[in-house]
Amino acid sequence: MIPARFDYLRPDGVDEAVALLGPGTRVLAGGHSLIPALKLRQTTAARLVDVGRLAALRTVELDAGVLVIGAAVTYAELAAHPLVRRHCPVLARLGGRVADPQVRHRGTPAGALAHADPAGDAPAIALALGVEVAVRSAAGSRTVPAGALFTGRRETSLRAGDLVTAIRVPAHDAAWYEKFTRVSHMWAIAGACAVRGPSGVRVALANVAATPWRATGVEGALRDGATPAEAAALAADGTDPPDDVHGPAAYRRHLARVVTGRALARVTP
Amino acid sequence: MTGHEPRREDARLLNGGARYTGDIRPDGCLHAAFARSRVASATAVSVDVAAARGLPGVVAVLTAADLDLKDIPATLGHGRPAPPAMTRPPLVRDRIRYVGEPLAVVVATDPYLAADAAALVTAAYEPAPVVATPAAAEGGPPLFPEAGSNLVLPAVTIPEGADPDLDRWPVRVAVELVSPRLAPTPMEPISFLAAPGPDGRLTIYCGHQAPHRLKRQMCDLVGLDPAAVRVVVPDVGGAFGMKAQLYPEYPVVTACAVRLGRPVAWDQTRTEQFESGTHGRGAYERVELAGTADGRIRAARIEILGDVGAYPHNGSAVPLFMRLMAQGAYDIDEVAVTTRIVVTNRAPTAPYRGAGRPEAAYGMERAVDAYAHAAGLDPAQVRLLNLVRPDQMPFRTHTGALYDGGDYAAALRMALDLAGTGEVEAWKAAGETVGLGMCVYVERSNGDPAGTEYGSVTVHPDGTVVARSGSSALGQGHESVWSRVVGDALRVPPSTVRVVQGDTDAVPAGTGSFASRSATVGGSALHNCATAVREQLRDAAAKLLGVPPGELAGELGGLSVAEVAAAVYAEGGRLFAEQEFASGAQNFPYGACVAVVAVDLDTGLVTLRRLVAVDDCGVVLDPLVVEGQLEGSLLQGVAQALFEEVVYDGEGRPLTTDLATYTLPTAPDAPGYVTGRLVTPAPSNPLGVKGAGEAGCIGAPPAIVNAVLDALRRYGVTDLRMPLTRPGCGRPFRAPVPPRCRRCSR
Ligand SMILES: Cc1cc2nc3c(=O)[nH]c(=O)nc-3n(C[C@H](O)[C@H](O)[C@H](O)COP(=O)(O)OP(=O)(O)OC[C@H]3O[C@@H](n4cnc5c(N)ncnc54)[C@H](O)[C@@H]3O)c2cc1C
Repeated sequence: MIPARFDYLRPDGVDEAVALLGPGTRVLAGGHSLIPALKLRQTTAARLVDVGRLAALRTVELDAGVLVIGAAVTYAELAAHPLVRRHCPVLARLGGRVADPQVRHRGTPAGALAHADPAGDAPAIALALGVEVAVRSAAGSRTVPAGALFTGRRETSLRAGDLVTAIRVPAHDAAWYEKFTRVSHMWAIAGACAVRGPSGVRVALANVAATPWRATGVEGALRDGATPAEAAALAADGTDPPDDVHGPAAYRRHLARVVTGRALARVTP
Repeated sequence: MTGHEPRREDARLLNGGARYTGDIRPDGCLHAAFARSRVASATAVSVDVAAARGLPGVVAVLTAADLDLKDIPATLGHGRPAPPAMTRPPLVRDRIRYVGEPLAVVVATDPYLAADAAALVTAAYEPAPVVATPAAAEGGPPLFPEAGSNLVLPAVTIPEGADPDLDRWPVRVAVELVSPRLAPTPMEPISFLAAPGPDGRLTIYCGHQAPHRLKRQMCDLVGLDPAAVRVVVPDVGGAFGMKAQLYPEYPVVTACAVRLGRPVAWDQTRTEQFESGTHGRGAYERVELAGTADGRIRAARIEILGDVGAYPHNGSAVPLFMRLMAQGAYDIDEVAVTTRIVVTNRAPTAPYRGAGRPEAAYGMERAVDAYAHAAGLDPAQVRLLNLVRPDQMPFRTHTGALYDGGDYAAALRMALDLAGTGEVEAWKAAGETVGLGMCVYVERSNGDPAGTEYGSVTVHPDGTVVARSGSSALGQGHESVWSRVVGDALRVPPSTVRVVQGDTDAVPAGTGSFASRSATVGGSALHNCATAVREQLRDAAAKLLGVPPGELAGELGGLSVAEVAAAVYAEGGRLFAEQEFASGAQNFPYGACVAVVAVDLDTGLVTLRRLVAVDDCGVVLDPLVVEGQLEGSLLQGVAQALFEEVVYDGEGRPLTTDLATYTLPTAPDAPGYVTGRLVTPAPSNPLGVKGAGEAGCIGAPPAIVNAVLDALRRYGVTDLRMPLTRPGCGRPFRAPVPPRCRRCSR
């Protein structure tokens, strides 16, 4: 539980932060994924660049209907923020419930997306919401849609010099995240987020594959007129859930159908 | 005695003012880290420390060959010997017996370097067969070839020769049960510091449950002069039995400090705590009951198989505690209990809160429910018919326990009333998957009846009072309770009483804080001393005032304690009493738990709608402290029933190695508790107290499992395994769920 040696830097602005990034350097936000991984020596870093206190990353605003959440906004702040509560209650609710109070007061949804844990809640929700992450690097700015972000188990399309600056959440009509876990502070054994928007219902699952998993089969069935229950029965199709102390893969497949059904029931009229 | 007052130590504990072993780091302190085995079983082990020794900042890397330490003896608990071949070398000599066993110690100038260096230690070895389960132990390849088998205790039946004939009764049931291994998981893992002083003495700081014992053990194993060793127990962040064990790291770190002449600290990591801190429970049981069709249980045959892990130490006592309590709260004509204890290639076990009583209560209470169902009777009725009655007290069980009083049926009736059984029936009628389950338990506290505890009370010339106790706190609130016991007996405000504990220099003798014994023996010792000093004060006051002691007006004839004390000391006298008190008997708290649960058939999740606990721990010295003990213990019972299990794979590798893999409930998961209390003073100590620390974790698991079975019986479910919400344990699912996780051994 003791990390290997690293240097710690705390830049004063986004430009300085971006300038410090590069190979061997990791962004540090809330540290509630990165620090445990360092302590367990699952990963190492030559230096950490702490962006948690950068004012430019700590804002929440509405930009032409799109909710823009700064990368250093914490779960607890998300839960309390009027704009988030109004325009994206599914994230506000997550902000008030995920993990435990310590994690919520330091951890950031943006960090969770960059960490890309397939068991994470925010990644599945982001995928279902169809968010885009705003990225800065020495080469300039770009946006990456959630669908193109998650490339493997805890792997993203972000590169060593990239800094996520914000999450952009498009407008939607209804969204619900259904998480199954045994005790309050634990990761999802399986989770499903259903979002109803202008182009239909989108569904994404947590902890059933190497990446947050878009349940396109469910979405297609709904488009073709299936009932939510019929569609939910397809939720495990194509998934490859982990098999661990929290449950065998078959149990997670079963849970995927249950939580999908429950999430759909919340967003379908 | 007085009522709800905040605990004296809380301000310090809650505001960051506590001082734990990890807060004590003398100048020049070195840090130890252990290289550990990654396999469960191997022979011809040779450890290579060259790379670790080469790292800058590393002061020493030592193996068994470098440190000449005595083996830790094998024991059956309470000083009874286990097979002598099963002793434990503090560092692996040639054979590895579990994952996490220490191979070498690294001592470095900071804990980071020590961890870096420990990671460089490698071991070469021949893989050996793994005894991964207790079932595989008997007849399996012996962990200690010289011992000939893996039996620590071969099958022994009590009462000797008992062989009840169950077949002659019309109703017979048998249940086979597992109480899975649990990890005690205190907030503060183990921390140990050995610091040589300029005076040539060695001070050991450790959050330990029995500092005087630790001192004797270190002197014995490392070869130190008892006069030159002091053990200090600073604030402790919980222990639950885990901190009474003699860990091999202790003599190793002590020897390093002596050899290097510098302070050496070892802070156990959370993963080390899960892998090689002791585990609790780990019991396998078969309970057969037989009796009449109208519900009278007449005979019981019970088999216990205890798994104590790789080395028999304190943990071997647990199956024997279980045996003592196997008859439960019932009057049964014939009982036979057969016990076997085995070693396995898993971490050693030790008593964990409840230690044998949760296992015993679980076996009997599951079996009684099975009996009621077999006879077509109400489980409450069957219990009421068979419980030991107040007019049978004191009641001697077939296993040798002497129950010391109480009204077991009253506890059950009170718990059922508090649970609101009518509402449960209404929920069931409305189609909800709910169930109600119950448990009546008797437990024993004050493990060794002959065990003593030291206490002393001094009134100083200025009237202040110092109480010294050999039982030191692990978070329970001894300061609050001891000052009140002494203040009440001396008739002085508790706030004037200073409590000294956890220091072998400041307290001349002590046994320790475990087995719910502290109030019974530690509290009684202080009560007796304070009572004696009160007599000294009254005699002195009477002398000062020139009246016979019996004619003093008020407590001290109008004099203050300080006035009397000043006069006594001015004349060369003193106000002091000390005692090593033994109660001479175990005491037997009892109670009833009722659980009301709702089961989500789609996921297997169990929600506690109600958890009722009625306990009788005799006289209550401090209601807040006792309620805290009950509720904390209840949550550990809920955890055992629903969530927690130390899981090993078929190769003896632990799969639950941190708080992400071991499902530990926290405050938001605690159900609302409904508690009730009966008071039957214990006859065997002057305070009339019984153990209050373990009731909840004994009563809750059977009540919860029985409740879930009640909810699921209509789906044909008749057996479940703890923890209920792990797939393969619960399986109350509509959809077909495979019964076992592929990676788990069981
Ligand atoms: C006890 C506990 C329980 C938890 N339970 C859950 C749970 O149930 N569900 C769940 O979803 N999560 C859970 N978490 C994880 C928690 O949500 C994550 O810590 C958090 O979401 C990650 O955010 P962070 O700010 O802590 O990121 P950090 O730990 O600081 O960083 C995580 C990763 O993202 C990178 N990163 C962070 N910010 C940026 C950025 N702006 N640009 C580029 N890269 C960046 C870092 O370099 C690192 O690789 C739990 C954590 C703990 C400690």
